[in-house]
Amino acid sequence: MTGKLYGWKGRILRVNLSSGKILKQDLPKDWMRDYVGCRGINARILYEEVKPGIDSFGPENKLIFGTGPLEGTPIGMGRVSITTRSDRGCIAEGGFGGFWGPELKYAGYDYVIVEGVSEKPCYIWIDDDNVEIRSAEHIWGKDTFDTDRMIKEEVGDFNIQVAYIGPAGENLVHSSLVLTDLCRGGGRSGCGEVMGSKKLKAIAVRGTGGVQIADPEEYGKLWNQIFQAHDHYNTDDHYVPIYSVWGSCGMTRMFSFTGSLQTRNAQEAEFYRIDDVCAEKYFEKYALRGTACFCCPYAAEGKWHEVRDGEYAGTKGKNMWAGSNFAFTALIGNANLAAAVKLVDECNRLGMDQYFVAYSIAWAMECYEKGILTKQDTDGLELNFGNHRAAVELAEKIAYRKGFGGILALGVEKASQKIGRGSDRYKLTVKGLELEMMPWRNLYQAALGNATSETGPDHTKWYPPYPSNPRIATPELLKELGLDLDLKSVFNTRTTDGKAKFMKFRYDSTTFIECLPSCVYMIRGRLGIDFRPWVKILNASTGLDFTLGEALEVGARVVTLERSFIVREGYRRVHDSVPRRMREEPLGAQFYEPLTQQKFDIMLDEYYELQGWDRETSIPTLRRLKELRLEYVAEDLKKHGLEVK
Amino acid sequence: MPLVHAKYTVFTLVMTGKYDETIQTEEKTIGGLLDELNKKYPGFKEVFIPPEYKIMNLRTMITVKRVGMPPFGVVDPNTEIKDGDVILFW
Repeated sequence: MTGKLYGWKGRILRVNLSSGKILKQDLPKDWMRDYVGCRGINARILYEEVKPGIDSFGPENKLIFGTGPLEGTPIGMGRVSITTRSDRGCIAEGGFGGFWGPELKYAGYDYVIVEGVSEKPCYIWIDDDNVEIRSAEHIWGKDTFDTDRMIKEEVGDFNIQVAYIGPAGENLVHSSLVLTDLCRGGGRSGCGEVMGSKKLKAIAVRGTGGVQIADPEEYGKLWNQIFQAHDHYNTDDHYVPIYSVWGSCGMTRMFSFTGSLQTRNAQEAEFYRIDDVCAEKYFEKYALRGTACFCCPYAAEGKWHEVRDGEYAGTKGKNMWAGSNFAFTALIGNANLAAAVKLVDECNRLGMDQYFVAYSIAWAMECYEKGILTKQDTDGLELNFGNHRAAVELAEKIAYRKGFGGILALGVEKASQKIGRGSDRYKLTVKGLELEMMPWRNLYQAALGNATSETGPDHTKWYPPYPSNPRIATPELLKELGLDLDLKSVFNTRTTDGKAKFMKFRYDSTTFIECLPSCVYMIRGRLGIDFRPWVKILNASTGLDFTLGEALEVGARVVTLERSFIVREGYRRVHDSVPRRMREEPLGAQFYEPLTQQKFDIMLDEYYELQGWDRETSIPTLRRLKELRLEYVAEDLKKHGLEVK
Repeated sequence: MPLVHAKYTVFTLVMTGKYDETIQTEEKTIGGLLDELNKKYPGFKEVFIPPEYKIMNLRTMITVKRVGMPPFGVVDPNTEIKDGDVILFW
């Protein structure tokens, strides 16, 4: 590694909210090589600094905001990784795109580590080298839109970038988000409520510097190559034109058609009213104009929207993702698209995760229809599927922990324990976190990916679930890349064959991309199989000389480190699970059989074997830890009484 | 003569101006059906089979739902169509 630093800024900002102490530290150079950045270095910091068994809402927990060497350059897409220990005990990691990450880099920092707990509500103001902790008592309780505006007014600059929580995070509601740019949210696995527990309302940043690139000419060529791959006319990926024109929600009818839509709490897989709530209708009625993250070539995230008439008139916001559309229509049986837009807007303003809110409501609706819950339990709400008015009312109750909303605010797992009466039969959670919208019974690799994710279900950890077209990944290309993958079996999505091997490749490669960082939406077409351009652009940016093998090893190292974090907290194989519904109930209309425990175990055994984790426990083996230069983890796990075989 | 239900989404919806339609066709394959639709909606076929390649496009998809079996994607234009098929062009 050369003396001069390219890509990284080389600085960590550490803010202790208990003591008010602010430190600027050097980023260890060996971490750059072993973990690259963003999610990778976040995991490294968390593993070392957050001890097992602590109170996630106490001063010992840390909240880490990470960028990486490509952040602030066009390929970084503004991706930020936020990492902490969730109140479920496992790692919470997620993030957002937008402009906050580049601004932090331009201010001169790769990482912000927030420690301790503030006595009173506060926000951190980073203005290049000047960092201060300011009172947020006047902002506490405000929604995200007001928070964004008030902080910018207070600073006197509307071009700064602000990341914040809404009332849900303040109220320690399960699965609260950290948001930026009003509607870009991340960290559904527990980051928002940890930020709330620290009484930290926001982190505002103004940066006036830049990012130095080692070889700008080579970088420019590679950027053009990657950009071209996402051009509407040049792409070899059939999702790209849809994303680029319609946003990700352009796929709603296709998902329903193919029986891939979790409908009525995943009792069914096709929504009979889909034509009333699909992306095409959304465009016709509500979408205004496109919006994109930092330098994104195809604006997959969605549009600004407004409901101008009817009972939800006045609803304004943005970002109807595919998942947003699925969650607030099919999942809760709602055929009123304006209500779905309203629910998206409520979640963004209140700082809640849309999947969590939708699955909570869907679970409650199923329990209500089955007579497990009555009006007495639900504050008089008639929670039948499709009752959008009740859903909108309930969303707000969750954020403020009012009445029955207070029970749902615990998350479906704990809510079902509290309610009892057999309600846990209808919960759809893994590791205590609600599912996302990926199908399980007809896409086994998605099931494996979601079940094994260290944070709880998170498709961004392994997305996309197959190459977009079989013709992209020819046997010749796979041989050239040294990839031993049976893609034919991957496209046969309802067998166990080849899924573990493909998921291992996906976890390694997607994690590497998240360490750069870049966005999973960029791993399209050939760029989702051939990662050489990604490695080259990292090298052009940093002046380092990563090989493809080393790059994928970074991914494997980070995933194994995250696994080590959760096994140290007590998570085991049994927690990499498939929800009962997916294991037992077929989808008759589509002829999809359940993903039985026996079938799942075949994939899981193979996956652990490939990861080098013990089959019985999921604890990484000593050999694998040594291969990945994680000897310190082996020592630490032994110190905590774990058997590292 | 198969009676099929064609569904149009995203781009094809823009081309046809319709969400869906029922078609009684004399064609027996997906390729033949594309020819027929191309007469009604000029340019429709080349979205799925670009003339310069003469194979199915990497950027678009056709998915078929048939009675008694799970939905499947079409990779060969010679794929047979059957009475009652629901065909999604996307």
